[in-house]
Amino acid sequence: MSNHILPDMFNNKWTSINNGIQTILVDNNQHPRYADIIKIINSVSKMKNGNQQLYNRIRETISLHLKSKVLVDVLNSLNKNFLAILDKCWTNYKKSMILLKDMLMCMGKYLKSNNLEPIDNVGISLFLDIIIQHDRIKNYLRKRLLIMVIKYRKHKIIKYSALKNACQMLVELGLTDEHVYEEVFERPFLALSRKFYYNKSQILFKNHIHSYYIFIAKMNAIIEAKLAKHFLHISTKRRIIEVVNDELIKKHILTIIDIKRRGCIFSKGYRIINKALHINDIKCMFELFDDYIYGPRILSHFLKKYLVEQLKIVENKNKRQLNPVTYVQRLLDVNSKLNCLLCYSLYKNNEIFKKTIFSTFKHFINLHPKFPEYLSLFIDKNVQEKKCFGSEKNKKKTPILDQVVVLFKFLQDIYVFKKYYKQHLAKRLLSKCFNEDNEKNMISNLKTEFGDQFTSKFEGMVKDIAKSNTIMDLFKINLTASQSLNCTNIDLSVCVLTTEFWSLPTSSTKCNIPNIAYLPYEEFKTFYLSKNYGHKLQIQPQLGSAEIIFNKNYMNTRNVHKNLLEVSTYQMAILMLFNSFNKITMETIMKKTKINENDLTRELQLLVTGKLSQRILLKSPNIKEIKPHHEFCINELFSCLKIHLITTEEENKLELRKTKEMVEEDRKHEIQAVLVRIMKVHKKLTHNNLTMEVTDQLRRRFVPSPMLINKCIERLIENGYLRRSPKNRNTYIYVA
Amino acid sequence: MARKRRSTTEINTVENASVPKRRYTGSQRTPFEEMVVFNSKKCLTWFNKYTNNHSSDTLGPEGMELFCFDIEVDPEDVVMLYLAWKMNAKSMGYFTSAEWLKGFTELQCDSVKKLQSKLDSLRLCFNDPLTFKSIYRYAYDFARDKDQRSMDVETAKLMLNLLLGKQWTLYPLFAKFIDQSKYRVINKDQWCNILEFSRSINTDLTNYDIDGAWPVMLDEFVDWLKNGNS
Repeated sequence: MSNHILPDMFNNKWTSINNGIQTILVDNNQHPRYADIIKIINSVSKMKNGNQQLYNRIRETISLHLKSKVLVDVLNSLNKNFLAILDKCWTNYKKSMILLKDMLMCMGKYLKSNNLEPIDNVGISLFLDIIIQHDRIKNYLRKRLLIMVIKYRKHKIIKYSALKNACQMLVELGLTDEHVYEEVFERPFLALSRKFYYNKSQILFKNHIHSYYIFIAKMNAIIEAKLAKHFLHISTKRRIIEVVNDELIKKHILTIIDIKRRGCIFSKGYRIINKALHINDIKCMFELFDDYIYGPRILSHFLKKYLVEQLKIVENKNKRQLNPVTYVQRLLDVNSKLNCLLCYSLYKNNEIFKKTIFSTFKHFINLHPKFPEYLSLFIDKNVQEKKCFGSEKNKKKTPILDQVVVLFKFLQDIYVFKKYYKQHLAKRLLSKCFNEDNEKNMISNLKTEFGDQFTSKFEGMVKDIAKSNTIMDLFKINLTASQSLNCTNIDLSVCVLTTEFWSLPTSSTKCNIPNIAYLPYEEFKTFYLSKNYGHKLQIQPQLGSAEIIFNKNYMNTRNVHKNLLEVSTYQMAILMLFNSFNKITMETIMKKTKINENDLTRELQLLVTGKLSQRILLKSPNIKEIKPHHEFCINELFSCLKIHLITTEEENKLELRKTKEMVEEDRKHEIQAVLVRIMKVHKKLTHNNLTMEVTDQLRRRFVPSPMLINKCIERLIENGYLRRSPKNRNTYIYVA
Repeated sequence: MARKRRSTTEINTVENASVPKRRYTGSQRTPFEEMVVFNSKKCLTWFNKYTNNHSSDTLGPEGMELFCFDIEVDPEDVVMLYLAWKMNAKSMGYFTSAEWLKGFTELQCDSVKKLQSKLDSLRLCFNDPLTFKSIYRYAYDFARDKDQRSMDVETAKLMLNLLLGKQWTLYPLFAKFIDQSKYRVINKDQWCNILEFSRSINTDLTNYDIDGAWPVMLDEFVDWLKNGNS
């Protein structure tokens, strides 16, 4: 019973304790008699109900202090220096709470067993209830903070520390009530921001700041994030960015995509990609868009539009210059630029974009009717050029031909390409200015892309040339041994071409070859046939070439000029006539050389065009057209030292049509094969189903027109592979 | 068993009724029988009238002319095509004796008079769609040059005029289209589809379907019509 205490006794002791607490609260300092007070507290806590009473009393004292002192101070400061004073009060108060807690250490066990809050937490909730939740203070605090935010957004200088401390305080007060920060600041802040960005977006759209829109949005998000990270609570960062994105982008997504209104992201995008500078900007844009449901779709849309624009630029530039090689080079540039963009952006939806790029490229490139030809010409140029580089540089060059492989994937008209490639390859091989290794590399590239069948003939062609070289060597050894007179005046080189590989015409193209060249050929022929029994040799003048020396006498002087002319076999046959004639009509040329009219016209055209000093022949009358009665004579003013008349050029219209017809014919065979295959499986199919299936199966190679398919079906009916069903003429039946 | 036996005897009696008559007509013919009953020997005699040396197996263009004159039919009358179809004649302007006998046995005709009496009814056969289709198809092989797989357009136009000229209102335009087109021959599929086309497609082309499995020639014809080239 010794612990039983009287109220008087407690009251005495309390007065001392109270003094101590007051000192701490006001001065934020230890009471001079700190140790004594601790002793008193200790003794009180040992009394019955002492802890309980002490706890309650202390609470009262604190709230009294808050009400009488702090509240008054804060309220007084409402119109000046509010945040600073509030902050000061709070800091002091916090310190006092820590001291107080230390002082009441001995009560810890009691509080714990009775499930009571420690005294500093009690203090915090008292501060919250009395000071912060005070209506005027709460509203004013909110107002001040929001004003600061607004100022911040207007790029005005604000007291960041005040803002930071206030937010810090609100968060700390949230110890007992988690929603303080949200209630007092965050929610109104977000609402304000929403309104702010809504207005901002309206203004932006009104002022047509489209090109920067997305970047303004991004910048705003960054600014807000910075604000939230450094001065507000970190949890706000995510929310505020969401608000910004919501208001600036999500809600206007349709406007942004709307291309008719000069879609805003796009133009900015162009500039960036064009300059290929701000890879990071693009990356950030990609990330920004990734947050939205429509993001990838929008971006792929954007990529597509950008790509088309780029390709159009390539096309337009090319229209003026009409250079196939630069055209393809530009395509490659665009492609590599995009690839590089995708690589750097490291965007996780890369697949979508790759697909977009692929389909756009494919579609666009195949719109250009001459693409297959250009591609082949491009390879033609590069495969030859590599020869000019040293072997070390070869390594550098290889990527170009590897890049070309990328373009193969876009190629739809494989057949057309094959035709051209063959044509150009033939020219290269025959002109002897080719690099065998390069050709073989290229062919193996083509092989991996299009398969064995595609390249088998090309391989045969290259082999033919190699074989021809061997046999020519043998022939020459043989010649020196036999000392035949026929071959002394001329350096003969024969390429033996397998008809099948080179798609040569089965009927020989006629051309009377001058004896000086023909006799050595006969010699070779005998030699060759003696080695290869059962073979048949035929001259193909349209493929041949000759070097002839042009001895030109000026009438008055006795100077003799020699010019080396590199000409086609036809041209040689024509020019040799001028050894015996001064003037000759086209008709006579035709009679003498037996060249058919079309070929002759073309070859003559080549001989009479160009600058005056470059023409070998002169024509009267001097007009572009060539008619049988027109006369030709040697141009006395011709002065080029060396002239090269065989070139790989773009096809003219006539040849283009011819190529197209050939391709079409090839395709007919393929379509028919597919038709028969399908019908063999189905036995019976309606017209529409058959057409659909054929188109489907051939899609990878080319898209056949319905008309072409119809023609093929008709041909099969005519040849008895199919017949129409007697009951329904729409249905075809396979005839086994 | 009994029933079965009875039925066979019945058939026998029917045979007995008809066959012997034919068999013995050569020697015992009544005038009535001569009018009605078909006589293959007489039929062949009739055929030989038109052959050059009265023993040849084939009736040529001259004989054909004479034949037409006898039966009072224009050589370009459709009924001639019908006769050829009945005979399953191989080529235009010629009948062989076998074809002649086959055709006229089916028609039960062995004289000019008998044939003439049937001509009108034969002409009516063209109104039957199935018969017409069969004749139309037959006409292609009948009329085309046997050395070629397809029929040249000139013959085709003649035949189409003969067969469809009256019923197909687009025929004159089609003939004009063929003249202007690059087509020099018409193959069998095209030929057969022309009939289907003439039967099923409205004159104003409203029910024409480009995906309707028509031969390209007809697609082009429709294009040509729609472009107002006519």
